[in-house]
Amino acid sequence: MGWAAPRAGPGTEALADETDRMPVPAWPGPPGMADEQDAPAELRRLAGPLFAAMARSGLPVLVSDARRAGEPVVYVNAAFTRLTGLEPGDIVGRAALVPLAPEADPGTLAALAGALRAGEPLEAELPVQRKDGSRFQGRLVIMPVADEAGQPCFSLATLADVTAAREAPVLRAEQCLQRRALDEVNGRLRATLATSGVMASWEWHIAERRIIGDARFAALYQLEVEEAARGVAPSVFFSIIHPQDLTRIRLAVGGVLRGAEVFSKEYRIVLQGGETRWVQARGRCYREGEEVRTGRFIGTLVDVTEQKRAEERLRVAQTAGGIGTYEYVSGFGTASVSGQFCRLLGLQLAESLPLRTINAVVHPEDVPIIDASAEPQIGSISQAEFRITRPDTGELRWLMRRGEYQRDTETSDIRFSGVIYDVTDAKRTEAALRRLNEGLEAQVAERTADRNRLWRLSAEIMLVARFDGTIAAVNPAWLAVLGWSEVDLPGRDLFSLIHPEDAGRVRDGIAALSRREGLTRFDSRLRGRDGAYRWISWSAASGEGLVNAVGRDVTAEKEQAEALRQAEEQLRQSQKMEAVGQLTGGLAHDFNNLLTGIIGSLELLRMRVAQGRLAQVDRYVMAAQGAANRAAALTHRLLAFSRRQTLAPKATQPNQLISGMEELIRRTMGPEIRVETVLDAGLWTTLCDPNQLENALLNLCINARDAMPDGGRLTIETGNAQLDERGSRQRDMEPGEYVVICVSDTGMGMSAEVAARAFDPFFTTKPIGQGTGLGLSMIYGFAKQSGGQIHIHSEPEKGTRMRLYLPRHVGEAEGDEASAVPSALLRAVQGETVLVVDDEPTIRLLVAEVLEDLGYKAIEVGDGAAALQVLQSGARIDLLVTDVGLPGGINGRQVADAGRALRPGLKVLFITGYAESAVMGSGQLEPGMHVLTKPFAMEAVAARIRDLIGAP
Amino acid sequence: MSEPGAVLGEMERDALTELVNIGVSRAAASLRKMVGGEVLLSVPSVEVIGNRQAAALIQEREGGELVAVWQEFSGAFKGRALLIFPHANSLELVRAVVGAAVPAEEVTGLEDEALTETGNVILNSCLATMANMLQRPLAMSLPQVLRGRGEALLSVPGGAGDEGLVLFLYINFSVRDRSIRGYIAMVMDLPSLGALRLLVGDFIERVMRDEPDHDL
Repeated sequence: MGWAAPRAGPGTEALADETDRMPVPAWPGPPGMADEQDAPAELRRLAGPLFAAMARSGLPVLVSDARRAGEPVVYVNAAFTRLTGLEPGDIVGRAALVPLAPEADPGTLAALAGALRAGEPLEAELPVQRKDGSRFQGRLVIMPVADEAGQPCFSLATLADVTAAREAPVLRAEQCLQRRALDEVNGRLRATLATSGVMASWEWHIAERRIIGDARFAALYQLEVEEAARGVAPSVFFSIIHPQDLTRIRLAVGGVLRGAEVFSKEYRIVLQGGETRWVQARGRCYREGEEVRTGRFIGTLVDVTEQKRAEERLRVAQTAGGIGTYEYVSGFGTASVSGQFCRLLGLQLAESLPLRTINAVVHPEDVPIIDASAEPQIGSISQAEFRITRPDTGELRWLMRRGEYQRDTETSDIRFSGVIYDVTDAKRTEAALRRLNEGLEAQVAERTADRNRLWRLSAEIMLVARFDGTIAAVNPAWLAVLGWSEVDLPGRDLFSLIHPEDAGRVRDGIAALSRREGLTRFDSRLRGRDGAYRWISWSAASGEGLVNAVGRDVTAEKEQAEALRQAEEQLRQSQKMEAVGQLTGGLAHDFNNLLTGIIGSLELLRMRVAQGRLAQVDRYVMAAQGAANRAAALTHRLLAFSRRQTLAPKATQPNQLISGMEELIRRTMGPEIRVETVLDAGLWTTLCDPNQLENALLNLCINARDAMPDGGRLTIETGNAQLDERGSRQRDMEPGEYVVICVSDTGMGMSAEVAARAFDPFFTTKPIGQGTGLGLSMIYGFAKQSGGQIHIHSEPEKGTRMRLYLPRHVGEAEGDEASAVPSALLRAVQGETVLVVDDEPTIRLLVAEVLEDLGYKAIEVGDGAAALQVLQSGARIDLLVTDVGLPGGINGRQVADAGRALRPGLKVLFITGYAESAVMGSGQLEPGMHVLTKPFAMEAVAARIRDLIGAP
Repeated sequence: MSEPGAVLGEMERDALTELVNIGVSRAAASLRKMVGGEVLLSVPSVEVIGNRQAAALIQEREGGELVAVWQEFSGAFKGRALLIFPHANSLELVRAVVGAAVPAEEVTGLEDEALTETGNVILNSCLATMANMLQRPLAMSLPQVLRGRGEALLSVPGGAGDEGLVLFLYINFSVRDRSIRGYIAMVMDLPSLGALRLLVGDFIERVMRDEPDHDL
């Protein structure tokens, strides 16, 4: 035991405070804790203000530690040094009498030692030797200081030189004074120790395996005071320890019993009533020599339950609040910090950190967290915001530090303790708010100015009115527009200006505004000063109980719009006429040509028959037939364009179809044009009318040929295409899988304008008489009706590429019915009967004759009702041939359906000029129902009838 | 490698703390004789951490240059033991050890010698006590003084950047009223820690057999 330093800050903190690592370093140990390693500090606390009196007293005072072997001196005051010349360093830590009284007689020394051991007060006179060797007769008064349990703590001794004044009466008085002072100190020590929170103290005699406890120890362990004073077995010590802490404490005590000196643990004990308390046990083992199995293990228990709870609450609060604490005592290089403090700064957990490490994380432009050079006012609070860069993550955070400067109560040091917490989010919000605010202010100012400028300068009239129609303000524009000045109108009723026809709508509009609905493009007429009404188009909104409206004079626009509307109407009319003219002109031209041929042929036919020149008859019949067929083809194309064409779609493999046509195309193209086909072997099938497809292809090829008057190359390619959402949108199609047939030429190409109109009916670039202009439009109609599309890609002098898209059909291609055996060879089986329904007697007659020629029996009727009668009769009918459009309220489709109801599986052949979609449904027919389009050759109808009747 | 802290259980850490406490108490007794004054040593806690973390820990807590006394040990477990002080603390320790009688300018000259001696006493006592308690012999090399930063001192001997484990102890010195804080680090590999762990288990068993009513 040395000349102990006063308790100080972290750097020289007493050992006991460091041995048990406190969760919250900013909080020092419990006040009044006995501290074996620092007896004078304990002494100071116990003696309180008296200590200072004792230290400054002129009376030489010496204090020794009664609890330690040999009672080493722990304190001497200045008066003692003056009297004896012995500095604290000369005597502290040593047995007092060794340097003081080397010549004292053994009897006196023995009595002294005995009294000290027994803790009894003693007065003795003995020769004392000063440091310089001189002597004096000293009077030693020793007063043991014990706690309430009677355990000796310290021995206070006063020493007086009585050599000169042995007999002086004044000495007695001085001695009385000494005694009183000592009594006072003693009483105070006792009281302080009792209130210091010490629950128990013990002395564990290791060799004897006996623990001697004081009265509080007895009370705590439920022992008799005498029993405790006699000593109890070591097992008693552990008996009240909480089971969860028992192992730990047994290990620690095991360490002490095996040679460790310092003991400092916190653990729980369970009291008699079952209550659990936290205690802090501190002790030290004193040994003589090397032998570890001997010695005294002295310690105390202090109840720290409340402190633990407070600490726990504080810890929870700090953790939850993300608050880190620190304590710094000026002059030291380190600060005590909490775990949260380290976490906030991104440092490794530590109890204390060098200021350098702490401040190193702070942004160079910001204030340090703890400024060692600060010269603060005591009691002042220092608050600062600063940025840090976390060493662990490199993240930049904003922190707030708030600390208070206090003078340490025990030392005179200045203590700076406080908290830090993260304010990054708050800073960000603050910055965002500030930006927002600054922006808003600027905007408001700007808008006000804008509004004023607008009000004055606007060419549009502005109006502020109440909901009852009273005008509150108008802007200067009213003067120019309507002749009213700014001062004419306020206070007047708006409705006095509104055209009577518009008043109702305006009232409705204002009512809508009062419901906070906005109004835009609200037109009404307003009377000007000159009495003329002008059309005003309003935009209005309500606010602050007023209508705010901006109006634009649209009178001129209204007039213009009306004029424009009329002009457009006229234009549309003329366009329609032009289109009709173009259509009829084109048709008339073609038909006239054809009719000329037919009429001429028939005329000649009649002449030749009359002349009896029958040999030439055939020629004219052929010519008339040819012209009539071409006319039929023309109407066919027209219908195809109008999409009223009746398609007989079936699964078709375009590759086969193209291969079948290749020879024909080659011949059509002539020797100057090379024909190439590039057919995708894996081509899908498509569902379309193969005849129409052939027709379309041929048309495309002929167009290509005409684009290459000097020869070139025609390429027909096929392929599959999968169109996604985007690709299909670009091509004006549905997404999906398509078969693509591509016909390209190396011809003259066409301009974008021409390409854009290429599908218009009768649009043609060919000289009059060379084309109908219906080819591409017909293909377009066919493609659209088949669910596909056609695209044109062309540039002048670079050729043209036409792409025909047809939807994929999942299924096998059907065989080509047209390739059946020539129909002329077929004859009817006996009794086969065909019901022919048509309102046109000529057709009925012709068909019936053809049927009879073929050996069929024909039943002819002129309308649906008659047909039904026949169907209802028991007559044999192998086939129903009917027109679609029939007089008498029952159409051909209905006849067919009724016939099928009566005669399931009845075969039907529709012969029609055009297929009414309502009648023909989606354009696709039920199995066993077929269509033949008028006009048709008699041979064709015969072949179809034979095929149908012959089919299973 | 698993979480270094998990190498030792809580009870094993407690037991190891007490083992080292016994060791440093013995060292304190030796130092008391050497110094002729009061010396108290205690070890509040033990941690097992990776050597890089240990280096970062010391560096952050102490900053700057460190002084270490190191000795190698081998036996049931082997490795390197270091007594580490911040440079400033080491001088204070030396002053405390040699006493006020020696003039300040001479203290600097004595520094290495005093440090070596002190370190030797402490490390030897610690290791010897541990060996004794664990009832296994340990051989020690001669002490050496090293100076440097945490990483250099705590690197694994011969290790090519491999993360070794450090048994990391805080040590509180109180020498002639001076409180000095330092560290004891035992750099060990996993097998040594495993062996140490077994021995610690034995120690726990023996302490738990301490029937305080009977013989110790």
